[in-house]
Amino acid sequence: MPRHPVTLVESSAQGAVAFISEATITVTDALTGKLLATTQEAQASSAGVQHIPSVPSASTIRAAAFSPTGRYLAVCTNDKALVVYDTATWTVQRQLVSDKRTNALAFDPQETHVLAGDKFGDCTRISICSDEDPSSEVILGHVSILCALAFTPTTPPLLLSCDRDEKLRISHYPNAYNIQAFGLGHTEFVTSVAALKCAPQVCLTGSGDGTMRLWNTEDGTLLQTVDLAALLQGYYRDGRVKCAEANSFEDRNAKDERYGVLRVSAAEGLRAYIAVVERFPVVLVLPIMEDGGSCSGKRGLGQPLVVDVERPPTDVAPTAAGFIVAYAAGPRLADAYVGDAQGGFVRDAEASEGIAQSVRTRESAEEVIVPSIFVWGNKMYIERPAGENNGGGDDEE
Amino acid sequence: MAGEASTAAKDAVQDGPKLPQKRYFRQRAHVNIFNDMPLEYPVRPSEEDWSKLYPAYFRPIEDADEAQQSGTADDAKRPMSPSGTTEQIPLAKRGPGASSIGELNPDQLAKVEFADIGCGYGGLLVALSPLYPSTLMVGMEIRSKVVDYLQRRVVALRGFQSDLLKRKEAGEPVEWVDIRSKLKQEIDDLSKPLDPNTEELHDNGETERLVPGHYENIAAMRINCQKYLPNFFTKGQLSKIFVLFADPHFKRRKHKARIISATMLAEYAYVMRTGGIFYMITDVKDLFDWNVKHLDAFPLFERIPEEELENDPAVPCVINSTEEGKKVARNKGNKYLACYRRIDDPADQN
Repeated sequence: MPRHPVTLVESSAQGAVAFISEATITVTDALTGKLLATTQEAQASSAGVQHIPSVPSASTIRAAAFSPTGRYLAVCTNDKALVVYDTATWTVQRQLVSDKRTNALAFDPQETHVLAGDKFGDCTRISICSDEDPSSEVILGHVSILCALAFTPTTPPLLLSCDRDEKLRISHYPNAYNIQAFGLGHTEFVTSVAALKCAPQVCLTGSGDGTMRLWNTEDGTLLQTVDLAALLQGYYRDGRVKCAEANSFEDRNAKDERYGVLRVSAAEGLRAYIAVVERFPVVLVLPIMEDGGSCSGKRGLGQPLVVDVERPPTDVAPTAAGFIVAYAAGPRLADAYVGDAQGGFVRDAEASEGIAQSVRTRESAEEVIVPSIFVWGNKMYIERPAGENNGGGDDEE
Repeated sequence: MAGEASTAAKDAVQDGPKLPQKRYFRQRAHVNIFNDMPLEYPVRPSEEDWSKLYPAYFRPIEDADEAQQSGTADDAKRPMSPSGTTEQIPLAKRGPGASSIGELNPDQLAKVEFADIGCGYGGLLVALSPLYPSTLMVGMEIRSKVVDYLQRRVVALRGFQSDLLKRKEAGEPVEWVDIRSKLKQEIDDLSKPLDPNTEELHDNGETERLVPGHYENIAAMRINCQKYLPNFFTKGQLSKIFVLFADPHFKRRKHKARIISATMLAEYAYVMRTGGIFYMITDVKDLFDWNVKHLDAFPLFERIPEEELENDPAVPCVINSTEEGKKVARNKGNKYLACYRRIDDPADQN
């Protein structure tokens, strides 16, 4: 019987990995896949691991984030609940209901606050300590769905936020009213953003426009563009990705060849960004170019490495020497990969087996369809057939 | 957009310039800014072709590279300033890669400095144009018919000026408007209703006398400011932003759609230079209180005391020159004005 896919994977600095499927959270060791904690009570007690209190009303989890040291895990759900767990005890540190549906989460570098970006475009700053300062404040707003949040590893840090309107915004923090720059260049929704400690003044974004872009976070200049069609077109040509069938992604315009980045993540251990692209059974590894053995000099991306994985992924998370990738469809839910001697990546059979043992998602009578990011990402007037357009929405309501 | 403007320009050549009539361009006031609309906007500011809006100041982008190479400056197209005016029309024009233009300092390149957000039928722009004849100002409006009206209006006004200049060259006696003395009169007594001549000038622009700048410095564009402001303007580009008689969006759930909201102010501050002025006026007291609450709380803006505003030539135009402003005056309604200066981030000084 098919199972619900793992839709989110997050890894922590302490070597834990959280796998999220619907309302369940399963935490394993990143290297062995050994179960550390789970929301599934029976599994927790039979394995003798900590039980994670479930999210309210078992609503599907939309986003998750570990704090920089791995001490906290924050998750938010479809019915607007936001829960912060203390990962040492897996107790609830803070729980609240947000005004709007949260879409993106990030902890600030001090780990005192969690930031929640919502579908309305606002980013709310919430204290982790509920007794100290229960108030939350909106610190910035986009006029569009906020897709992802991240911080630069600089001092002081800059807050990176990206939206469905092609924009990357770079703001001071916590004085986020002071905009440092906009990163302008994407032509479609920006889904994800990440910054690496070894290249603190740049960040990489992924988008539905078929590119990933490297930005200077000081002034928002576009440094480099990675053209996904150039890298991945072969997968359409030889049929490994089929336009029409779309590999279980529900997508109206799946006949087109298109490239939407699901996630860009900072793999500190690899000194590289890693990324996954909707429908493509690959993980991209984009090393930051080094100059004289340090990353401080010339900035830029080296030649991207395309690592073939078993199935089209839903998400990817870095580990110390590789990454863990979750799949949109079975047979396995997720695999661990590690770097090999040739500079490539191979499946880590032991860790993958450990993950397979630990991560159990709900069974489903039919194959579960993961909705395409293009369904919400594209502008309605592009997606709508010609003639349905009302000429620009002048007469609303 | 450009097609309509050039059609209007052709009409102007054939039958003489004609002002558009407002009644054909009415459109209801509310637009949902969160809707997806097929708007045209540049990916980044350097990709906007301003030559469509300010043909006297910019070469079309496709011509610019060529012109740069040949080194010829198209001076003939540049509007003439009246004698006695110290302000000069900026010398440079630009296209993409403007920074590579020979010896020119980027500060000398023409660029838009004033933005009227939600400009409506353009009353403010037409009034401000001769006061700042060498400053480029743009009216931004989301309602397509209103933008169409204003574009036609600007083309017509430029057409009148161009005819007047030709007549002057041919030796006919053509007068210059004395804008400054007119304005001084307004500043002296803001409470008095405008004299009919001034009102005429503000409402329709000058069609019989020459004005400084010849309306070459104003233009209208259709844009959703709340979404795409940074696509048009670079950081610190603007020295004045006007938000005049904005849609009040009374319902609480529509408050995020207001032109002034806690989060939008960050974007206005981003496109404004330090020392720039943000003008806000409304006849709706509730909206005024809301705006002031947010502007006062916003760390990058500082309210300008009223006595300092007395010497600001833009203020009388802000109060009196828009269609809404006049409507309120005719109905003896109140107008609430507040102006704010863009300041450096107080957090940076700690």
